[in-house]
Amino acid sequence: MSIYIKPEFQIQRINHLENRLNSWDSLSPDEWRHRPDSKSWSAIEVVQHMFLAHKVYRDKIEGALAKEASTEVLSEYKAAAIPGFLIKRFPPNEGRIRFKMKTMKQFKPVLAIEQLNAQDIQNILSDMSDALTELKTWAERYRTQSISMKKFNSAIGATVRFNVPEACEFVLCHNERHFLQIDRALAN
Amino acid sequence: MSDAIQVIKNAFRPLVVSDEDHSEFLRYWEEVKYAKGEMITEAGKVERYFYVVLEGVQAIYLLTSNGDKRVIGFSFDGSFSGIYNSFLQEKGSHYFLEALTDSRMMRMTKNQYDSLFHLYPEFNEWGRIVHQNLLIGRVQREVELITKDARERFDIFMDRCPQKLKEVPQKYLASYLNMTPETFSRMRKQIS
Repeated sequence: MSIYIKPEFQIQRINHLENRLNSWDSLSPDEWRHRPDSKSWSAIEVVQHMFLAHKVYRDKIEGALAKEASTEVLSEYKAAAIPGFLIKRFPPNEGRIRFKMKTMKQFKPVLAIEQLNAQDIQNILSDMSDALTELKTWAERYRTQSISMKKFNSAIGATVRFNVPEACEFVLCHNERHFLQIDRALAN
Repeated sequence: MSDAIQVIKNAFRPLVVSDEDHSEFLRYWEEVKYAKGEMITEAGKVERYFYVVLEGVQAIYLLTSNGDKRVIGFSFDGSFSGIYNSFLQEKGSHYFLEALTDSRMMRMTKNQYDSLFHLYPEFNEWGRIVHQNLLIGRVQREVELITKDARERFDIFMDRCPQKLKEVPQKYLASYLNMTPETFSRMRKQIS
């Protein structure tokens, strides 16, 4: 089944993530630093990981948006086969993270977790908040302006190539998975 | 500004707004402009303003679980606008409010809106009438959606909607009438 990417749907889901991030404002540094077990990330490490993944796409998306427009403004964009396959597998389903993936080295959060103070944690959260705002700006841009649909390499290289709507959807789905992981880290 | 004040006075009828008695109320309003396609309020955000439309058409819609739009209402020249339940409850909206055409609107904040009912006792009567009309309108629409077929819903809509609304993209009107854009288009061709 084809995947159709809808910018308003992305905006609504980004707002939902922003609200959830804000709802964690009162958590203590200990709660953010807590690792549920020795192999799992703490909530703040998950946030840092999401930000690292976002950053990789920043230049790629901005670069694509700077190119000459090649498509009219559409209300939905059909994802190509390979990006669609990836996007379809990514969102959590009924509270479950499906198709667990190995994290590439460049996306692993390298934090001296015990030494993180309240300000360090605040800085990471603030970066993530800005990243969500930026992601929404990209969705708003391709929702209202004609853009280039030229593909660019995904973070895993030329095997998977995205255009702007596909990349935004991928980053958003990735965040949705990890917000669920934060819930679990905080619950334990 | 004087044309805007007149539109506001008309929108608040049957309340009679006068420059002398309601100067504070008339000072509250701020003019804002939105380009066609611009989001006025996003789902997930709190509606901060109560609007009167000076010019343009706006749609209120929500998204289904797979992101399809379902239009639940419109605002246009001279009508109130905004996501009213989010505004009153100061909670995140489930709906989007989007400018379907370039729009000019007047708006006031929640604090200003609330203060009207303390400053001016006659606004309580206005509130009673507005909410009564809102309720009657929503029930009427619900009954039409349940009991009328697509052709009847189309005819009723075409009879009572303002000309300006007929000029917005058909997909929004079709969604509001709970029919496909193709059905809407076919019916429109039949009457033209």
